[in-house]
Order: sequence, then C-alpha cells, then structure tokens
Amino acid sequence: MSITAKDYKKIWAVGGGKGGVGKTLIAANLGIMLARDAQKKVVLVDLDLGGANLHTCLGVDIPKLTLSDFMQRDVDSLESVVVETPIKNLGLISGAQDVLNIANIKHMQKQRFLSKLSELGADYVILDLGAGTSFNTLDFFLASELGIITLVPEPTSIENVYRFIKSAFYRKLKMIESSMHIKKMVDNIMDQRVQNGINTPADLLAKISDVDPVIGKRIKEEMSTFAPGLIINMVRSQTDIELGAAVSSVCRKYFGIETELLGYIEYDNSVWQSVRKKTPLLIEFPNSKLVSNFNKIFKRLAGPDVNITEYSL
Amino acid sequence: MKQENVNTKLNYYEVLDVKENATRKEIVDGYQKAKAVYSKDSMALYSLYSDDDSNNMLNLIEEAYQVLINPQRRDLYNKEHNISGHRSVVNIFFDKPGEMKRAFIETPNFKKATSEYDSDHHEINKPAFRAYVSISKQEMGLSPPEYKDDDKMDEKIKTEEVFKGDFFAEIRKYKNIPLGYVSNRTKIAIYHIEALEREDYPSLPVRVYVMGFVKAYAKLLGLDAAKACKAYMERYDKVHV
Repeated sequence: MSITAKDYKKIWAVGGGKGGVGKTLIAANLGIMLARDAQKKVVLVDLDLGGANLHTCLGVDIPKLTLSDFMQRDVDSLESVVVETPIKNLGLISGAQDVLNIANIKHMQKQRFLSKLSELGADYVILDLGAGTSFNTLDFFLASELGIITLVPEPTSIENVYRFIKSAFYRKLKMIESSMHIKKMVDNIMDQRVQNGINTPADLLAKISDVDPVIGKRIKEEMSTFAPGLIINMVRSQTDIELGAAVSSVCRKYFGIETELLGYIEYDNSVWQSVRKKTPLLIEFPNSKLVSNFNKIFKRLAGPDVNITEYSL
Repeated sequence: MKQENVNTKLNYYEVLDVKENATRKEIVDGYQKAKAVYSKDSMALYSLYSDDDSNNMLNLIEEAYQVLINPQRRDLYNKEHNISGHRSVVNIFFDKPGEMKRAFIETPNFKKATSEYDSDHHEINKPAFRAYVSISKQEMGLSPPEYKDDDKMDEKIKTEEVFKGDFFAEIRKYKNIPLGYVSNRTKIAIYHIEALEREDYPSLPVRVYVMGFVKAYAKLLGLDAAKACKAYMERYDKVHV
C-alpha cells in the first residue's frame, strides 16, 4: 500500500469553471474510493464557498463547525473543523456557512489555510472548488499538487474550461514573473503582442524564449508544473469520449501546457437519483456502470502502487 | 499581406501531436486525429479558435503530414530543424525495437544494403531485412528500376521455352529488379519467390498457388505468362506429386 515518492500527490483539487459539471460528484467519489478502497485517511474540503453542498452529497447534516470558523479564527486548528462522514477514514471540512464567500477570503487567510492543510493528519486532501475563475479559486487550484478539471461535452462547458485554464495560466505566470522579477520584460512583449505575432499563451512563451532563452527555459520549467488532469463527465457517445483527447491537443497547441486525460464518466440517471437520496453514488449504486468509470479514473490517479481492496457488499 | 497565424512556432511533429521518432502508422493516426480536432465544427475549438484560425491550422496539418509521411522529405526537415534523427528511416518501417535494431545493424546504409541484397548476400537474407526492403521499395513509389538493354538477353527472353527457376532469377537480375519490389507488386512473399527461383517445390504452397505465383512473376518480368506457367508447371508435376 505504499506510494512511491514520485507519484505521491497529496492535495488534489477538482475545478473546471462551469457549474453543474460534476465537480462535487467527482470530488466526493474520489474521496470515498481513496478512503474505502485504498484505505487512506482522506479529508474532503468544500471550497465552493457560497454554494457549498458537498456535505449533502455525502449525507452529512450541516456541521456546527465549518471552514469559516477556522478562517475567522474562532478555532485555531484546522483539524477541529473536520467532521466525520458515514465513510470510515473520510473526513469533511464543510463550507456550508454563507458568511464566508470565496471572493472575499483574504490573502493571509488563504496562506494560513494552505499551510495548515499539509499539517492535517491526512494521506490525501481533496479540494472541491466552486465554479468561476476568482483569484482564490485559481490559487487553490494552482496550490494543489494535482489539479483536476471537469468538463461536459457542451460548448458552454468547453468555453468555461478554456477560460479557467487561461485564467490559471496567467495567474501562474504572474506568480513566476514576480518571483523572477521579469514583469517588465513580459509586459513589454505583451504591449507589442500584435507586432510580435502573439495570439496564444504558447506564442507568448515562445517569444519570451526568443528574447531571453535562459528565462524562457526557466518559465517553461515552472509552467510544466501546471499540468491539469481532465475528466469528461456526462458522456453519451464515443465522440464525447474523444473530446477529451481533442481538448488535450488544443491545450498543448494553444496554451503550451500538457494535460493528462484521466478518464470519462458516462451519463447516467443514477447520478441524480443518488443526489436526491443524499447518498453518495458509490454507496447507493455499487453496480452502476459509473462505478467502473470511477474505478478506471481512480486506478490511473492512484497509480499501480496503491493497493485497492475490492469493495463488496 | 501575410497574416500571422496561430501556432506558427510549432514544428511538424507538434502539429500532428506525434513524437519525433513516430512510426509511419503513428503519423497517419496523428494526421487523422488532428484533422478532426481542428475541423471547423469541432467542439474542442469553441471560444479559442476562429474559422480563420481553424483553416490555418488545417493547412498546417496538411503541410506537416505531406512532409513527415515522405521519408526523404522528413529526413531533410529533421536536418533543417535540428531534430535528432536519421532514425526516421528505420522508425517509419519498424514498430518493434528488436526488429529495428536487427535491420539497422545489418543495413547501416539503405542503398548499399539493398544493392547487397540484390547480389544475393545470404547473411542479410533475414526476415527483418526482408521487411525492410519490401516496405522501403513501397516507399520509393513502386517505380520499376532502370536497367541497361542487352540484345542478347532480350532475344533469350523471346525464345525461352523451359522457364526454369534460375531463368526467372537471371531475368530479374538483368532487369535490376530487387526481390522486395517483386514481392510488393505481386504480393508474393519473398521466401516464396526465392523458392520459386530455386525450384524448391516442398517450400511452396499447394499447386494452384504456385500457378498463380509463376504467372504473376512472369508477367512482372515481362515474360509470356501463359507459356512460362505451362512450362514451369509441367516440370513441377513431374517432380512434385
């Protein structure tokens, strides 16, 4: 059950720009699989602040203590806002108190939260991000060791995914700029983007490399850590499945970033049925085809080193 | 006015989303996928690529494919773009590393190797090499090789009555036709052509196939196929029951 250092990614974030594409469903079920099937200690964090309902998906009542108690320093330790769920080894930090909104978390609060995350006695932390591209959402996504982007085969979702990736790309570039003190150089290039023939983020990186190969190389190295995984949800046909590879190709050419196709989840009525029953899908419908979809994704994420004990009723 | 299009900085391998040592099959696959991804009605382009961008990309994909699928043009492109390779010649033809290695050790130079092969060097007469020759001839566009006219030989072809296996081999060498070329055109395996030339009947398939082989081979060599087949099969029937 050991995980090699190379593959060990502790903090996962599930994002994707658009609402209703299955971020919470995926976060919850990956958490369940890690806890139940791989017997890891897992904490799910609902960062869809203002629209939190991860607790409902897990069948947990609104907890007394939530993330806002930690953010507003009512409690000191992050550990104390972790509540139990019906699944062994799976804890939840709920965001279900609407005093807190993702848009108005202060920088200091965010830093304090992120630093305490790694101190949680958990093998894995999964962040369920909300829709949109607010700086805080992007920062949580970029701070995680594995960013998962969820999309559905619809133009609206595709558009929001690209918007999300573009925002995250420039957010990340900003961070690199300030740490490498190259803001001026990048600004100069961007001021003359038409003359420089820059239409895409990939063009920008290429131009930076032209101007200064050393800096260009370092930026590319830094940027290579931004390699989100893709999950296509609500798949109805082979064409839908292939959309994943297509988006991956476009990301490589347009943004100059690598993405990893993690898998797909078929469209299935059992999803809304399980939501209605407020019971997680994997528990309510253990024989659904979605379970095998999730298994494939999970195996890819966990790698060959995580032993999965097959769950039986 | 030339408009700067999207992705002018991608090399052809990146355009087709293939590795620099991609095999021929991978290049064809990459080309087909890329065409689908960047077609105008592709959902994956939504909100990022305009119709013009998509058109430019499709042109680029076509351009990349035309170069990479052609071994000579691909080699030239690799050299011009400092892409490490000369590997391409081998990698296009072989998917399995072992096969590739064998062929490469035995054939450090394509042209030298094929001419050696034609002068019947038996140590290079191995399956991997055969594949190499046969596929590369296909790559060469299947044009028949050139040869020097020899009146004596032409007369011999006209008057031949016996059509023994070594006569086929003699004509083949006179016309400068490699076995790989014969195999490609006639779809007869090289070892069957060799068996035919040796009159090694037990190594050949059942009679009806042998007839077809002889006819096709004779036709390719510019012989009278019916006459050749009749003579060859008469001998065959006497020896092989």
